[in-house]
Amino acid sequence: LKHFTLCVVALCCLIVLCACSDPLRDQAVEELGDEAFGVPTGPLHRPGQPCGVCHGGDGPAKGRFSLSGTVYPTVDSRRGMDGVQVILYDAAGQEFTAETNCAGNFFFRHEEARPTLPVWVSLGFGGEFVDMRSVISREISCAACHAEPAGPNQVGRVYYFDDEELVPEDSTCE
Amino acid sequence: MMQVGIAALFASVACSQTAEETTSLRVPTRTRFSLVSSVLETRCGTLDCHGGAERNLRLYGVFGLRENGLDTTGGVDTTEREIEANFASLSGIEPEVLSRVVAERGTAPERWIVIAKGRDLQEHEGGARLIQGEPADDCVVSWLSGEVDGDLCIADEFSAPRDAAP
Repeated sequence: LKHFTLCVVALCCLIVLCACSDPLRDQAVEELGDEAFGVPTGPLHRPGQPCGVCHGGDGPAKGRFSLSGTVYPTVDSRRGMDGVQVILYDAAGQEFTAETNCAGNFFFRHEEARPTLPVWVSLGFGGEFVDMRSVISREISCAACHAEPAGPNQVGRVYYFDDEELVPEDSTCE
Repeated sequence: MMQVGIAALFASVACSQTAEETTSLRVPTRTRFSLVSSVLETRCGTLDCHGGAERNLRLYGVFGLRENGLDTTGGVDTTEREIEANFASLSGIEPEVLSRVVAERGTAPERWIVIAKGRDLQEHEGGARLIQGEPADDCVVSWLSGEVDGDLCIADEFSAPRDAAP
């Protein structure tokens, strides 16, 4: 009887564990791969990846983001762009601002910013602003739509300058 | 003998043809639908919503999925083929209900799920994208009533409510 009880308890634990895991999310996390060599986990890591996979609230990361992404200087840049203002205008008339770090990453922490969808986005740098043409309807990872390469169902990366010569020299991490 | 009888029964069932009933359904006008398509592409057809391939209501266009598999999202403007595909896509959503709404010249359009969800009268992840009394909603309803009101469609501005920002 004791053996049977143990089996039942183990089975219940297994069911609970299975119920808590999301195989699609787990696969998405797996597909992100390992951290880049020499870049610790933190605000500078994984530029260009869909942050919400881990930071979406039910992912493995501690911090939860309501919106996040990476901005590059130009469409072909290998590194992100520092100091770009990312301004959200939400459906409720609220405005939120974040700034990219030297990896080009930006994020709005869930505890600080909870925009009401849809959201309009504007990028600002040096007093000049560029608006995103469409709205964000539900996706919290910019990279989910702004994946590379641009194609019939993805937009390509978010970038600020059309011309490489306009990019400030100190706009990326050393 | 019995085996022969069963075989004959199977054969007769396999060969029998039943006349299937057909029903004619009405669809909204195709005239000036491009104006309606434009409103819906902007409000509903982004990549992360109905501009995605996995949606039952799939909308093609510059802000979402590209119909020819070659153009780029955010690239060239919505094409005629995409507008045609959007018409077909919308016409295929609850066609019987749509037909009734069209036959009754757009009366009670919220019977049709596209309007019900668009107005957030039914559970809709994207919330209310059509507000009754605003040009976008009136534009779509005019299409269902039989004549697209182009002025309303063109008057639609789906832009950030920046003036309301604190």
